[in-house]
Amino acid sequence: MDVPDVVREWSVRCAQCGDCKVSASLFLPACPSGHRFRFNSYYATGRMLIGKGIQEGALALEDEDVLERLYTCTACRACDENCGNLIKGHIVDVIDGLRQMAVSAGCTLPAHDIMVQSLKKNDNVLERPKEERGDWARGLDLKVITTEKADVAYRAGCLLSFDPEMRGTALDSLKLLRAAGVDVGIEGRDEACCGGRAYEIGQVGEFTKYAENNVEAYNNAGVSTVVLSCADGLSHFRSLYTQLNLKMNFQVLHMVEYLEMLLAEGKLKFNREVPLKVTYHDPCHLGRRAGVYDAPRNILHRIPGIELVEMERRREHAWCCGAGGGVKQAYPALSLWTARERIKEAMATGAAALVTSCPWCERNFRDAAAEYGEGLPVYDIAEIAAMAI
Amino acid sequence: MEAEVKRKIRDELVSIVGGEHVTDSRPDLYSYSRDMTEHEPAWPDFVVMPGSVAEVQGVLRLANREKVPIVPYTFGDNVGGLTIPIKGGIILDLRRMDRLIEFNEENMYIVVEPGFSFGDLRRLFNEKYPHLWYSFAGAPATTSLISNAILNGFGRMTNVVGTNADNINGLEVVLPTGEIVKLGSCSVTDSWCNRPPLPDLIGLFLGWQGATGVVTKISLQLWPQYPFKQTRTLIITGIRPVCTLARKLGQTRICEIIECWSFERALPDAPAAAVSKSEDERQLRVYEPSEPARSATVDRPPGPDKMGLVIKVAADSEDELKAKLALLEVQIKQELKDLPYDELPESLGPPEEEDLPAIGGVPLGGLTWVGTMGPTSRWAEALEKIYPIYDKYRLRRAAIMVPFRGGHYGMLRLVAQFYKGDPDEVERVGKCMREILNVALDHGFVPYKAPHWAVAEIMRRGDPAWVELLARVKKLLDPNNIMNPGRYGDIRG
Repeated sequence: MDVPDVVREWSVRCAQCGDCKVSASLFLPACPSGHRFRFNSYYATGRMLIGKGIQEGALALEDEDVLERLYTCTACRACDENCGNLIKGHIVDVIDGLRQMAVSAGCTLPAHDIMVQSLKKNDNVLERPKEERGDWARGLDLKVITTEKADVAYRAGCLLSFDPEMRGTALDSLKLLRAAGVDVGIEGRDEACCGGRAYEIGQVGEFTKYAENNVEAYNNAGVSTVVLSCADGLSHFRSLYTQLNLKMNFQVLHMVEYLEMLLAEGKLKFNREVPLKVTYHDPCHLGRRAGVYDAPRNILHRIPGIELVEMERRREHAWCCGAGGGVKQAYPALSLWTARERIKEAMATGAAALVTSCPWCERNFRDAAAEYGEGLPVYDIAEIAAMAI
Repeated sequence: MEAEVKRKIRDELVSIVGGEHVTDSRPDLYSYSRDMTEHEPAWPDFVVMPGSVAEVQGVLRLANREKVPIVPYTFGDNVGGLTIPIKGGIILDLRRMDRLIEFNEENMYIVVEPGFSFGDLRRLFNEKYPHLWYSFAGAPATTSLISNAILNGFGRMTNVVGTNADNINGLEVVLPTGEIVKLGSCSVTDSWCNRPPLPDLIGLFLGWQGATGVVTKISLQLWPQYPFKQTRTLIITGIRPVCTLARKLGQTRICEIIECWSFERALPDAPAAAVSKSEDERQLRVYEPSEPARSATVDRPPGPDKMGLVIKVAADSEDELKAKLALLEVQIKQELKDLPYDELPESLGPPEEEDLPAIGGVPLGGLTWVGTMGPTSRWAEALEKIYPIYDKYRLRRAAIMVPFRGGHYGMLRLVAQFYKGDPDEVERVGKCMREILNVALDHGFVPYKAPHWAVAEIMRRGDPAWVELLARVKKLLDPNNIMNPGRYGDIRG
């Protein structure tokens, strides 16, 4: 089914009932852009109608307002989760399709153009020189899998590689893997973006290039497992790469899945107490997109001293952090507002810290906390786990 | 609307509600121009989202002065094209006004604004008031309590409480000319507790589809939640036996819920394997075809009609429940005599009324109906005339019947699902609904939430004095005919 077919097939089937707007059974807002702006066109129902309007010729992708409605979606899939009508979740498929049609028509957003240019030049979306990609691991004496054999490849991803404030997560992840005796290596300066953000903004050509290159690189390295700290990267490897029928000779696991396995096998033990009351945020890409809900909670439960208190919107009902789908780059105010809503919910639990397992979520929460003066510390789960060994 | 006039109105709307809450952008207007039904879309000129009663007043005064149509709107999930702005103008989207004004536990009522939804009330019950309940409709959680009540909508306790309009204690309304009026006990006291004994003007705003004013607050009765419940779902062959049984059960006071459903195959081109053994079981649940169907068209093979009858019995004690179930069994035996029937296990029955149902089960995207209320004694007679109309238009027979208020009257709802991607099917559905409407009216059934073409037919058939009175009331309240024009009381059509 080509892109216009996907849009045609599913947008016409939206019954406009509005089930997508709230979390089923909790009756709490589910859609960040809809809840922020309230007009129909910012909800999934409106975006499905935009798909219909474009097919009818009543709306045009060249219309800046149309583009704004399409690109203020964080692609969190909460709408798909709550839709009782399109059972297998095709709302974001339609939005993805409309974005791809927009790119094909030359209708793009300046903030996204900058990301794409950075990808083409630097293999990352952060406008950072590709030569600096492996700097975060300097001095760690790690194997580089392009030249040395390793069983497991650790993939830091763009944010952990380039953002100095975020590197602690990558370093702590390596600390944990080494403590468990894992034969681990990295790609170093040759690691490249997963391409997922390109896919989400409609740049399928760019995405495909990175998907093919990444799979080839890990296949050539002969690793059995690729472990990622980035939830976005995980879901792109698992769901989007497989849609391209790329043959992956390795399994792909998120750090929380791998840690849970190491704990179960007794290769990793938490000996130190971490006296902290925390709440856990399910990243959309790890939760709704990859179905990983228990592993992070199981890890937190095994850390001595950790008290986990849950937010009301959790697991499949989790409120998005606001960073996804290119929203952080193109609509930073919406992105930070969305994150702040989540921080408020986290603070209402009485937790002393917010824990998550995606660098994009962590970055956005930290930015929102700074912007709005909220004092809640934000950690990646690997940082908490590393305190316990 | 001329560009200069439009600019002037836009500027004034922005000054009333703020720029963030006014839009005339094309994707916004398009998304308010249509709904889930087959009704012809129509574009508004603006969508405005007031945040207070004062802002509603400001918008109405402006619209009245400039003679611009106003269509009150909450979440747009009605099945009647009621908020399609057939004359353009301003969609007044009230969802920002979502406050709970009062929850009076002792007197069992709630006062809320238009944006307060079924889901909001469910959260309140879940968190603080598990002993109370409301007659929740089988509608999405976003459905507005106000919209549902003032449109004579109803929930699953209809056999006990009637429509939700019957449960209104009081209203606050902004008139088309901008004045605020309170109705019910709140008009002379500080209490929203009761509707009688004052002269009842609340009806001026019920069933009018927003043609007489904008309701900004409502007081609604709440009901006790029964701790003991049991549901039975019978599958009965033949229209007459099930209609008689449903009517008689409605009149016994044994049952809290009585719903009678057509029991046809869910989708015409569903794979045979999916509809063989599990066909009956799936009928009342979400149907998920393995391949997406692109048509609701069906040529019905000859054969008897199967009907599902859902009965819920509720009680304050286990003994009371047992006694009611025993009485129910007696009633079933008495009415069905030796007629065989099947019964679904409770686990495969319809969703609990506690679960606000997802609308799931509209996989083709299109849903419409002629919903009516009338004499339960004529259900079968009407249905026997209506079912062949479905066949003529090659659509699936689908009816729902529910007795109201102890069976004094009842609902007869004729439903059609359709694929919005097939213009021929959409056209057939429209024609089918029009024919059904006429047969329903011929049998004493009057449409609720009627689309504008049905309103026109009702007014055409109506007693001339009644039509004239409607027009006089409308003219009195809405002298410039700005409120949802083309509906009740608008004799210009």
